Amino acid sequence: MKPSEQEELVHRWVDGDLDPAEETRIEGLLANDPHLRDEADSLNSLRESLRSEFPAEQEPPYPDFFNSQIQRLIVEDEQTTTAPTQSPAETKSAFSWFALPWGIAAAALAGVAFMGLSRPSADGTGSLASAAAVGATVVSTTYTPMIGVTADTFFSDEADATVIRLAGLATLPSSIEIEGYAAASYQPDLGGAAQLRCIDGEILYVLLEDSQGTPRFLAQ
Amino acid sequence: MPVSEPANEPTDAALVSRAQTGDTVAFDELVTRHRGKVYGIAKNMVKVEADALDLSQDTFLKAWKALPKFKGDSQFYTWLYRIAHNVCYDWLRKKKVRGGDEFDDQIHGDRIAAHAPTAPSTSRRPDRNASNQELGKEIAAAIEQLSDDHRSVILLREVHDLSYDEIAETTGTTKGTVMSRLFYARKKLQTILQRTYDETI
Amino acid sequence: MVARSLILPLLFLLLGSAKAQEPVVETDAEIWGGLLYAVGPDTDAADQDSEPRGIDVTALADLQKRLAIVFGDDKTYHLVGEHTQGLFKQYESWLVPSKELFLKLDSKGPADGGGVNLNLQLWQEKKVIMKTDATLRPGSPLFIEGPKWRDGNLVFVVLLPKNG
Repeated sequence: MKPSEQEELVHRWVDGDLDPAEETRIEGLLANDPHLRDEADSLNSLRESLRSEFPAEQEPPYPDFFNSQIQRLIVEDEQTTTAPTQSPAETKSAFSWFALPWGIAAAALAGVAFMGLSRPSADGTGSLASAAAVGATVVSTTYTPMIGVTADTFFSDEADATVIRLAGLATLPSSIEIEGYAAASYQPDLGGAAQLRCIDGEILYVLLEDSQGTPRFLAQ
Repeated sequence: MPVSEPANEPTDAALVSRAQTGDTVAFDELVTRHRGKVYGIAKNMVKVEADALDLSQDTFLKAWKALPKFKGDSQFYTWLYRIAHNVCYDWLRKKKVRGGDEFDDQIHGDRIAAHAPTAPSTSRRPDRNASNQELGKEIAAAIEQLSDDHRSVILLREVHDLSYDEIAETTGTTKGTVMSRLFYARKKLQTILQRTYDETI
Repeated sequence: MVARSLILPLLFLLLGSAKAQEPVVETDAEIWGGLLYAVGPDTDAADQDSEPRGIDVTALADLQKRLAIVFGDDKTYHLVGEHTQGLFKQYESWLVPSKELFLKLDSKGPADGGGVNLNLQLWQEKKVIMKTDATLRPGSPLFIEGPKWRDGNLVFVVLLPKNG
């Protein structure tokens, strides 16, 4: 099905594809032909309708998380391609969009941290891709649920360590005493409670999760 | 066409150069700048949010991997649109049973006559008379009746405002093919919408 | 693989009662978690020092040296608490060197090339302050800079020790 020459001109006119001479010509034709004017109007209306139904640009939901997911895919891809003897990490399928354990609703309320990759600094910090390349620990996705808290992640070449710096955390009150333990590995009890013991065997506390998954310590 | 960049921010070209050296922070800035367009294309083409998100992320991953091959002959966003289009198009092809016929002019047994008055007169035009919501549904339903080739061309032109040449580059075809697909897609949409309007009155 | 979420009613276990039977639960790795207090040298933080029990003194000194590279050598890094814990295959594991800052770990299984994939949740009292997916490699520490406290700040170190 081929358009007529005039129809083609109208279509090209609404698309801004005419040279000045053709513009002059189509303007003359439109002035004298109501059918052509109707066609032009109809094309413009169609465009308006399409534009209102289909936005050209749409921010993805949770845009910061969108970015961090891409960075994760890049790191995973580089791990796969720089170590050809390794098969793809089995965790890839566990990280699909809707398999995330923390849920989309929570993400909507929180600040989602972008990993500050490839941040140059005096001690030679580098990208997590370089961490992966040297067989170091890699952090692939970081999420900070509390508003105002952000995470900056990088690999320190000099320290040979992977670092997560958390900014925006509330300062702990000076009045509290932080009690540290030398805790030994526990086996979960019936139902999975954690009865934690000191290396010497003394019971320190029992850790339970309530129905919301919040841990509660039951002190001795 | 591209989002104008404030004077004190790096250009896309500058960010691309940095990203090509492995600078993921620069690439992240490119993602931020263009994710709206990429997600917009994906969402318009595949409809379902989860699929559009996956395809958008896949687009950027492919862009990252293909960056060494980007020579700057075209604008970065056009190059990116091409990747996005291909990713979505390939996904649709795999998903659907039918292929994208270039000229599918069978509409319930009717043919689009070359000179038929498919442009309805102003007073009867469905786009003027239907409520916005109803029209939106009609448009969405109508566009689904197009083949993937025709749908992508009309969305790239009407919604994403690409020129014929840019559409040709994005879809890997020629300007002539773009124009003929566009002409056909418009006619088909007009016919579907006119028939929809006629059936409701 | 998704670790079984343990949803428990609020039970009060009688401490000191006969130990419940403890089936041996399979683990993917053993992880060391240390809570350190980073503070300027002029501050008297000697009471925060714990003698390392679950980690070799030399290994701790090495960690402290690396912490200084990252966070500054104008501080000293006191070991406040530590916990060596098996990373359960089927359950969440808790790494609790202190009740103020601790980790919940979810193993995602062994990583190709050595190490373990896991999800970590950093808790401060009853709130999650960070979640992350990571691959821990043997001998390659993860330093998590935590909140400020008094004249310094807390740092959580996660380490998958090298075998042997």
